[in-house]
Amino acid sequence: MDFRLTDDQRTFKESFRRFLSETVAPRAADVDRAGVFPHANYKDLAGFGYNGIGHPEEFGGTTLDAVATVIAQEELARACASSFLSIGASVGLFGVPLRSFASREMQSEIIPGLVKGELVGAWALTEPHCGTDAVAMKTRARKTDKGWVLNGSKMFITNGNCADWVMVAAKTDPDAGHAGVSMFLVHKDTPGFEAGPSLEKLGCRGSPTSGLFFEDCEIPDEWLVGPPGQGFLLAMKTLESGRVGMAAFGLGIAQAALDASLKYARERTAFGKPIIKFQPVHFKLADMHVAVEGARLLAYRAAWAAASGTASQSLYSAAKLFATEAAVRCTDMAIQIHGGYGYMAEYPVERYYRDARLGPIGEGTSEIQRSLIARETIAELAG
Amino acid sequence: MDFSFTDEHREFAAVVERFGREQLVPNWSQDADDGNVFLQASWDAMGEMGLLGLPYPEEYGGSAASAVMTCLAGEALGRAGVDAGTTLSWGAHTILCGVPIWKMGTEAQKRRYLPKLATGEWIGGFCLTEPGSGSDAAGMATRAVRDGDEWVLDGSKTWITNGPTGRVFIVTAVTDPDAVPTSLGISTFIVDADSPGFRVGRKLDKLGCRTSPTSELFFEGCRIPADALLGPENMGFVLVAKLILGWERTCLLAPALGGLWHGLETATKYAMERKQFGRPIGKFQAIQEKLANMRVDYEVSWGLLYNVADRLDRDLPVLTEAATLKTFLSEASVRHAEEVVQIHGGYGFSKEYLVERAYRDAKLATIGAGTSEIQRGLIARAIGGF
Repeated sequence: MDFRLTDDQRTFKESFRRFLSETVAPRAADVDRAGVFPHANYKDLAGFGYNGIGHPEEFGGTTLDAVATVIAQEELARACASSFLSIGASVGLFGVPLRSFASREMQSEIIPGLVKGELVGAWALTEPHCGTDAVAMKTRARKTDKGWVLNGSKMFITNGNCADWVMVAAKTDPDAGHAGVSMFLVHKDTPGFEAGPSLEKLGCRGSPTSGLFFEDCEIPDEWLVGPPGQGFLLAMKTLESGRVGMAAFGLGIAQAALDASLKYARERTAFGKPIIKFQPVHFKLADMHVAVEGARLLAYRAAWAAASGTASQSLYSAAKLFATEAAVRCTDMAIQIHGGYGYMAEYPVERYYRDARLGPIGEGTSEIQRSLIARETIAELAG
Repeated sequence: MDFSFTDEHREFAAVVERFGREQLVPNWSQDADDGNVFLQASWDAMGEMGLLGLPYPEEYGGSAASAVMTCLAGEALGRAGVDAGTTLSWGAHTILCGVPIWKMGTEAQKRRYLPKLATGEWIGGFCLTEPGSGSDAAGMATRAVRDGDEWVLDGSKTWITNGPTGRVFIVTAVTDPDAVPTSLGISTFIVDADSPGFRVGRKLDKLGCRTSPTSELFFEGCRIPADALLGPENMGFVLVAKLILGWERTCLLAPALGGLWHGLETATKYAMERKQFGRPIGKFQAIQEKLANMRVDYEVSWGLLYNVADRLDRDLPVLTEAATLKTFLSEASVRHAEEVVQIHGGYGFSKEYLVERAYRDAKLATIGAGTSEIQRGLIARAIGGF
């Protein structure tokens, strides 16, 4: 047992934080307003080595331990949640199953581009009428002599209309339930594939979200990812690491909200003294600190446990659930501490508040996480 | 970072949990709880097991357990379902009384007290709170005046855990009334219960933790020898506070962490046995949400607690970390105990199931060792730098 960061982890955290404060963080407000994929950040992060984390060295990837990886995600979310989301969807949600399950040829074709920030990926599971309930999926892939033909649509796809490649889940055997889902790669220029316009949304506005449409979209055999029928399993594996990533998303935003609140509460005076001297402000800052520390220990532990093979589903879910809900509470308190200024876009907490709200929804709602935790707990204690 | 326990840790925790279940839990009875009766049999068993002197060096009768090991023992007792009165008395004795003697005492003081505390032959307590002051040391009224080879104590302390049963007490008293700030004029003493002028007041009735006796203590021209001073004169309070607040807010709270798990286990089992509308109530999402929230509270608390314990073992600063832990874990305990009662419905409100006791016991955590309000103030000052 050793709760301290290693020297390497500490050094990494400091240098990445410094890098972000000079590059990504100052652009965050503009990224939010522009509402398009943050290519400049993607390129800069590629230069730092963020995009390559965990990817094979032969394709330009870099090795980083699990705790340092979650630290990197936390710091990026703290600097710019939209960038975390879009870049994470590209190199993580899309990149992780690609490097784990796709053929070597497809890996060598795509991963170097992700690592360099030249290719963008997206991962498509959700449909207009179903999210976590993957069995209800309607998108179909039919086998032909030449490959596969896709028909159907996807919804709320991060990077959907700016991705060069999309990894999409489709039913290959509609009668086989979970075992009838497979994963496919689709290039954006494939006939029969179309991405919808960016959807207007509450927060993370610098990360484009769209629908995807497949109409007799023909793709070659090589674009099948992993064996047919294994798509649901692949998706669940992807969502496991995705939940640790979303814990880092919540943690980073919560920390940003606390940092901004501390700064403001020291500067702003009322009744002749800085508002940090008033107990109602103490209480909010302390509550934010408790939530952030609890979320951090849980997120780091989930990442560590995943790497050491000791993680339970409950731990991933607890980390995601607690950190993302903490972010919602913390950003709310941050706005309150800022008063009228907090409600204005002039201060960053307005953006944090909007960005944080994605956390309890994306990659498995809080309700789904609680259900997972409860089921595992029941099996463990009363099974 | 490494969040794992060693095999030694795990085996030790399993042994203590089994010991708690087999040797301590059966000693509790509703009558004892109703009558505020101290469970002497549990105390003796803990002494024999070596739990009462766990962290002290072996030469003083202890087991030289790390803070992590001490917390594991505390958590194991909580997981076993040992009543919180027993673990509270354990904490006040082993941590609050013994740790300052071990860390600040002279060789003679350590030789005199630690071995007898470790066996449990002498029960220890810690006296800070007074009728007019708790966390606010400036309000302390108990005085100690040097008179030749003795100190003379006058004043009173209240809400003293182990007051009625204790044989030795750590007592804070003002030795320099003019000191600024006040905390730099307070010393710490070791007071034997047979000192002249020492008197145990009435036993106090309370909401929970009822097997842990609590009382007022009076010092009426109480004479103790000069060498009963613990630590440097006028600095005792500052040193003991720093020392205790880290240890108290971790090891003493460790049973509460175990209590979270025990409550979760109890509620989960009940939810899968109790049937309504043709199925176990644990199949209803309304109940599942509660179980999930409790599990999350446990996991968050686990990280916060062992983080402080690990830091204690490495001599790293813990004040903010311990306050963070205490705020979360104590409030989680109260929330959690309430949900366990709720899941049990009418049975939970009755004394038939022990969850009613756990609900009463839990509330102490947000008050003792510095209220939640004090913890939040401390955290805000630490992170706000003011």
